[in-house]
Amino acid sequence: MKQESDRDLYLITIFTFITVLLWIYFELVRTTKTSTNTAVVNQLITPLTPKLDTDTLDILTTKKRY
Amino acid sequence: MDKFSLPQEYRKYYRSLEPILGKPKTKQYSTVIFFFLTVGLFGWYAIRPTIQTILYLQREIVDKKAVNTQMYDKINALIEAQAILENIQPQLEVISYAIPKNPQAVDIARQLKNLAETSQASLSAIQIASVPILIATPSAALPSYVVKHTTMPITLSIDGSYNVLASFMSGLLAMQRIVTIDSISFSPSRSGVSQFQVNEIRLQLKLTAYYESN
Repeated sequence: MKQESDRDLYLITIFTFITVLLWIYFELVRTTKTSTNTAVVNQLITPLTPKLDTDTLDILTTKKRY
Repeated sequence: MDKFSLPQEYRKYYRSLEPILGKPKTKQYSTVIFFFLTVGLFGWYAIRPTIQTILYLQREIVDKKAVNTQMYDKINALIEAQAILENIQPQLEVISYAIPKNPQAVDIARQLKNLAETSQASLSAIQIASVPILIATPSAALPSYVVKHTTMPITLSIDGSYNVLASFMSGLLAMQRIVTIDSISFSPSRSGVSQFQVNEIRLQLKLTAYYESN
């Protein structure tokens, strides 16, 4: 009876240990995957394309005002 | 603490545990159980925060390097954009003529009248939908760089020969103020039909002009 109780306690400890290890692993994975940039920084680094449709502007320039 | 120094009421509990604790099997199980518990607690409260901090700092270094590169690219793009803007500065006012900041309904009516005169067509009717004379203050909900265009429907009735109307249409398409043609309908002209005006056509146009509204 005592021996069974010891084995149960032993299994509970093993599973608790495995749970803790998995928990630590997933916490660390989350830390690695989560970006440290704030929303403001993300907005600041939005790419800017310095292209302007000058052809349309040229077409508009050739048009007339009555 | 010496077992003999235990109070009398606790001494009986110790005596009942003594044979159990003395068993080799219990000793082995206890060692293993306490080992896992110790490693688990140590891992959770000591190793995890340390590794987490290391990984966070490593990730931060990678992110900051990426931000630095992207900011550098953006600065270059802004310099390039500034140069383009300076080059086209003289042409920029054309945009405000094409799509003005307020309806300028009178101006477009005048331009259509002048166009009709230039193409020798007879403008018999022009109707512009009601538009606000004063534009309300820019909405705070929209950022300043978001430009919203509002439509202004125009109905136009014009008479003339085929060539005259073709000239009017060409002029309309070449007009700096942007208008889109929604519908065109032709019918024989009935106003003041004379011998010289037998081939006259009435052109009914539905146009849409635009203006900026924030």
